[in-house]
Amino acid sequence: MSQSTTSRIDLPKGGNSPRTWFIDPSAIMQIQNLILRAKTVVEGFSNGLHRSSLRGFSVEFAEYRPYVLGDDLRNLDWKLVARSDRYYVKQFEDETNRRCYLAVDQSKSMNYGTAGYTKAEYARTMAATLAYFLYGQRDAVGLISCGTAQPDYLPARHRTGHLQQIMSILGKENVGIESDLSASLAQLAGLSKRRGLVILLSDLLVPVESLSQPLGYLRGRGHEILVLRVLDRTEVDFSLQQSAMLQDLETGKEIYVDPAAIRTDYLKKFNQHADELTEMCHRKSVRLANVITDQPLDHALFELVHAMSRG
Amino acid sequence: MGLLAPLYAIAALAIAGPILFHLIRRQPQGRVLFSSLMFLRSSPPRLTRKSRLDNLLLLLLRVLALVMIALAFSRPYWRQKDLVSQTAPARTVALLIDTSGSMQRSDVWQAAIQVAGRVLDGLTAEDQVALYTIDSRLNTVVPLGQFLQSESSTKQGDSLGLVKQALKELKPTWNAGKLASGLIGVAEQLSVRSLGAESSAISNAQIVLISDFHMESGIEELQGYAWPDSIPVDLRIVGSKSPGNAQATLMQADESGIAASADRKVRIENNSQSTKEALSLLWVDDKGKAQGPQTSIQVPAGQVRVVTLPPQPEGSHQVRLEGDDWSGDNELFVPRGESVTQRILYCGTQPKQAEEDLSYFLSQAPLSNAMFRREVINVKAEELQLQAVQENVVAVVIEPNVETYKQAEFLRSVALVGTSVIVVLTEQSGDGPEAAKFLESLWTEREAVPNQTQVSISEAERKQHAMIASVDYRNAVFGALADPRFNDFSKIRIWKHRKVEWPGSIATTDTPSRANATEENKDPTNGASQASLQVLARLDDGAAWLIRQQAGKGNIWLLTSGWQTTESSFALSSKFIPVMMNLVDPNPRQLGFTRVVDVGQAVEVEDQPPFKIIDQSGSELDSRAIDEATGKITFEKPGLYSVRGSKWSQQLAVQLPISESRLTPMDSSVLQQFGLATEKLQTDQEIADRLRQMKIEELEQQQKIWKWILVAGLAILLVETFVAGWAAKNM
Repeated sequence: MSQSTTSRIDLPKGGNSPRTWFIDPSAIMQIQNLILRAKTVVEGFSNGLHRSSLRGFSVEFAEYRPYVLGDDLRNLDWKLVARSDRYYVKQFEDETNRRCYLAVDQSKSMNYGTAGYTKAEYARTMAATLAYFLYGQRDAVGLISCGTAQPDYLPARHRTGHLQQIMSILGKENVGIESDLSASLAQLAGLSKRRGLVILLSDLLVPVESLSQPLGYLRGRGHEILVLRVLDRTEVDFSLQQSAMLQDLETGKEIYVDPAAIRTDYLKKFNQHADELTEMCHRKSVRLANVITDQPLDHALFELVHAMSRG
Repeated sequence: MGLLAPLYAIAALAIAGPILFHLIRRQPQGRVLFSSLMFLRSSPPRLTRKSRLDNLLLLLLRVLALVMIALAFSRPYWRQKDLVSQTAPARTVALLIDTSGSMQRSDVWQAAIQVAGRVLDGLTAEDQVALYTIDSRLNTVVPLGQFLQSESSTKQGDSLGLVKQALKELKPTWNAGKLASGLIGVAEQLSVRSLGAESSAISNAQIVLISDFHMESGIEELQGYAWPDSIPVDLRIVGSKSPGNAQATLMQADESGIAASADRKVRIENNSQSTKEALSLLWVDDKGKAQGPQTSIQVPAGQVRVVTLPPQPEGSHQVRLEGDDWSGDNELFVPRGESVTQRILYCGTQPKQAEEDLSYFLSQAPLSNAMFRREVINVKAEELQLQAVQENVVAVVIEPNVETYKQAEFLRSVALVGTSVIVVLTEQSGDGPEAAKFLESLWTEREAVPNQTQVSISEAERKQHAMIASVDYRNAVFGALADPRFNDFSKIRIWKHRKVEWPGSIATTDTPSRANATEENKDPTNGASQASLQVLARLDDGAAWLIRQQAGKGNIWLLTSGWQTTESSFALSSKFIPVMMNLVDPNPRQLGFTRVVDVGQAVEVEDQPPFKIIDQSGSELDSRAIDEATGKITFEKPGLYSVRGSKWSQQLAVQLPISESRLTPMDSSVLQQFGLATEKLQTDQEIADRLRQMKIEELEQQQKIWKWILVAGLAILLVETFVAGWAAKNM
């Protein structure tokens, strides 16, 4: 098969045989409760995580500082006082937890899906999984729904009931009016006062140029960005069989398409778009990972752990 | 096969609908949703031969059904041979052309002639054509009778030829337009002829009116006329490219001809269509050369301004308006400001003291007016006969004395030809038999025998002054003073007067008393006796003060008291001048007051023909201008004319009627408002086409092919329904 007729989307490698390691996403999608779905995925993921050495990074000793009047006596290093008769206060690197913002694309193009569920459902489940995982790590989790005229926004917090709020917003049906992803991202850049990790879940079926500026904003405010590009298998390899009138989910425009006649052309354009996207993300130091909806949801967690360890 | 309504056949183009639907039907029915079409391009399906063949029968049926329905609506019929040769029936066309002054505009008249030519070109030799023109009256140029005569002599087509020939010689006049009288006149002629006519041509009559149809075309008269419906009018309006016009009229026209020095006022009216506002007025001489300065004025469209002209220069009788669109009505003729000199002869004693002198008071009285300049001339008794026969003597005032007692018969003869003879009895004139004889001879036209006179004069003896007790206001002498504001004669005191008595043989019409004044309403001068004496005023002692006798064209007046202050205070009274004006000339000639007249207006002349009418260039007009029956003069062109009679000459300014200057166009629908039946004159070809169409309609009504075609179309639709159902089931 020539290069032009195959997709060059880099699919994550979850081991030697991912299918046997991870839970089938279609089985996960059968679970109605979103928080239960997330719990199932995260717990499966955590079983493997115990063998890794990624604990304890959040409360690391940084330096000593001479005691000054007014400092909390609890932070005084009594052992050092006993040893050297000097008063020093222990300081830690970061006493607050990480802030994570989940940006979930709710545009109409996300309503496409051939795996028995839509990209939007998959993305919401993935977002729920990430939120559950992060919440479990005592990180502050925020949420913004992109690609709608009136996006839902929850600031990054870690308090009782916040996870339920996130789950209830994610559980709402997709009511996207227009896929104006860039505007939502720019809005997020304005709303998030403190820097953190922004995880964008979208199909990114928009011109690459329109993403460059908002991602630049977010980077400029000091955010780490992880883009999880959610795609359907049909979009990746254009595996339609029969001629049909194709209707654009966002614009409603209709064209007659003979798949056999234009498949090569489609893949060429699709790959070119993907290349441009990768190039742009590389330039902006944004981590990009492609997720196909028929693949296990755990990949997102792997990507998250990678991103967090890098930061 | 022909089609009665071929436009409906266009509906057959609706077959494009089924063809289009059949093409659309080959498009895939189902739609597949896709996330984004940004990487896709349209790849239209390729039509296969098989797909066309599948629906061909259905398509054919649908197309056929539509064609049938369209054909049915276009009302087809089978042609017949006699349809081609339809000819229009003969008819009568009366061509009425407006030749009023406003048609003098060259482009309008040319357009009128062209329109008339086109109307005639649309007629055939079988049609009867008459030609009339209308200005202030209807003129028959080619009457209807021309055709009737030629019809009998089988000379068809003569009337059309005659009209075409007459049209070339037609010219517009300067008269006012009265379209209504023209239309009514022609309509009546056509109506009268159609009553007894057997020919369909007469009954099929129409009037074609060609006019510029402006606001004052004179159509108001149509209001009271019941227009016959059988005679439609085709109004062809010929307009000018520049309908704007300004007109100038002299204000107070009858007086303006008199006072040359007075500043004349000119009223300038610019009509609403006018595009030019800057106008100017100037005096010009007979050769059209400008005299004096130019008066400029701005008159916006639709407005009126009044301008005061500079004094009339010597030798200039014409004012010209410049700056508007049409120059035909811009010349304004002003008659020469000359008044007629009239002489009043006084023959009597001339005392040294002025207060005793009759002629002194007479000469002081301003008896002249704007038209007549009157001068009093004292003549001696021996010169009286020589002077009194001259032309311009209007009155002879005589104080009888010894020297003039013998002039009675001569004075009567003078009165007979129209001169007023005013006899004033004074103390000097005496009351003897000679004076009585003088009066009797003057009144009775016969020489009185001395000492046997029946008329007697006696000096009234009074201790106190007398006053005027009764006045006959019905007479023209006192008529103007009848108003209660002026009729107080009690201030006139008469110290000396004479009592005059005359016999019953001289008929007398006495002054009626106030009680029976209404009963005596007859003019005493029109009675059976021409020589009757009429007492116009009496004194309080019953004596007559003013006695009138009409003699021929003139009057003999007798005053029994002088007006000088030794006899009465009459000369000092405010009544003196009006009474004396009337005594001197009771019937002033009216000709002078109609010095400015319109073209076409009949001017009455008091004098008897023959007249000479001389125009501005000095050439004499022919006698056609004078109506022999009435002696009235009618002018055909504007200008300045001199009318010279045997004894007098008069100058007349003849203007274009003002109605012909108001050129604001009217809409043709005005005629319908007056109840006229209007209809466009059709050419023979149009009539033939109309007849053929009527024949075709009749034929189509008989054949009714459309019904069968419609049934066939419906049947095809039925078949199509079955075929479509069958095809859908099998698919």
